[in-house]
Amino acid sequence: MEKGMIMLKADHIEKSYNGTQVLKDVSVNIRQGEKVVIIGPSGSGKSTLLRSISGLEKADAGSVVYKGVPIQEKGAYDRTEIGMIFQSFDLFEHLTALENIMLAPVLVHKESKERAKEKAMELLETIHLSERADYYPQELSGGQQQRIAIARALAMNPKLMFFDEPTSALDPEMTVEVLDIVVELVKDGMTVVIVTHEMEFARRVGDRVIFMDQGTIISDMPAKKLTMSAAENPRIKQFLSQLEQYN
Amino acid sequence: MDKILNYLVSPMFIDGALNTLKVTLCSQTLAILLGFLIALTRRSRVKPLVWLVRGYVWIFRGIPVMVQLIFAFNVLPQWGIRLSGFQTAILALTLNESAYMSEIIRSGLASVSKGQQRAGHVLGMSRLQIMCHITLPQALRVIVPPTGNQFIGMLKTSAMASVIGFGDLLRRASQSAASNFDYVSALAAASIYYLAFSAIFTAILGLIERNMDITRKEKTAAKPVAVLSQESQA
Repeated sequence: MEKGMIMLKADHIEKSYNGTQVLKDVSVNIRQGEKVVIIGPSGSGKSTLLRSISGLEKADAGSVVYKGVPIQEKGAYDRTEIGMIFQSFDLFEHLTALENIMLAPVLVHKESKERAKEKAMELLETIHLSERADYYPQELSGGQQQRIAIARALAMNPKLMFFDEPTSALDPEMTVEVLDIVVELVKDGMTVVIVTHEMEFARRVGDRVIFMDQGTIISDMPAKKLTMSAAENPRIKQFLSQLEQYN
Repeated sequence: MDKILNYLVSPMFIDGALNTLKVTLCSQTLAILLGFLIALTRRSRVKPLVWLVRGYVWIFRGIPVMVQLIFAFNVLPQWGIRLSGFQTAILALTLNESAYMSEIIRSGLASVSKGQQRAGHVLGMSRLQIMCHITLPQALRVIVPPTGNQFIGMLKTSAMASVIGFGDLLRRASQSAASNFDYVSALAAASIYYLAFSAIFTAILGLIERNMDITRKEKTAAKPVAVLSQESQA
């Protein structure tokens, strides 16, 4: 697939939980090689949008097409082409870091254990955690766990990665460790969609920023324009100034 | 003492002890399998199925085992279902115990975070793979200790099968005592068997539990404790 071609196309997505409409007719395209950052206040529908367009959750209405395949229909596409990282890391607690990374390649891609281990060790090296290969999740810090979760997703060779507030459960020091890994990924040309509250990171990594509020996209702009002075929309201005108060 | 010893080695008591052991192991094993199916069904998204198994648990946990045994023994033949005493005992004990086991297994499965199952799903793993490689191995740590308890409970509950004429330990003991009124020796001999079996069950359970823990303790002990200050080098 060439750079710049539309990889994922979501049209008129609607989603409600218990009668509350969380997404109202949202449409968005993700192009090959793009680094999209989704920001917005809590409850604006960012995470729901991410889950709907990644095929993790079924939308009430609308369509999502990934490389020509409608992914809202179960099993219609190769799930492993889309990697997903959550706020809660979700490492398999009974397995070591190495085993966490090896499990899916062996079970799903039927790789040999030797091959999977070799690849897992390489991945551990890229996230600078080779010496923690035999540690269990509860023996590792949050930042380390999240980096291993990223390595675990990468072991399946995803073409598109979604990050749902990957650093929200981490303290600032660990946040930097994790974001550095994401920056490296992006340098290698991975297509990424990230929901985050880290504005500095959004400007540094993103080339496109989507701002959501009350279930709709109210702004979709190049990341460079994401500054207080440039933000024309009063809602965005308010949100950014609130964030800055705490930074 | 001699009388007790004589009872212990008499063919009648040995046969009763074997019957008790057989009915305990069969009923408990079947109850674990059935309980697992019920626990899985309770996680189903199909609501009527969930109600159905909740009703099942309510009935078989709520009615005394004795009532269930006598019901199975007297009513099933009237319906044309003819089972031996052994089969009747296993049927009634399994149905009753599966209700308890399903709750133990359900709480074990629920102890594994949903996030890990979701992580397995986004990595492309099937539901069966997630169950076998992620959920079940962790749930077993919660399920095994109370299941050992249930095994010992079943050993004792099986004595109730003597009321339907099944030749278990208790029935053999009362039959012996009925002929010579030496209840002390007969019941003492039966009790020695019960205590010996429960000691064996406890020992086996201890071995299983230790094995489940050892694998991780060894790995953990072999490496230095994670020190926070060394971590930020990345």
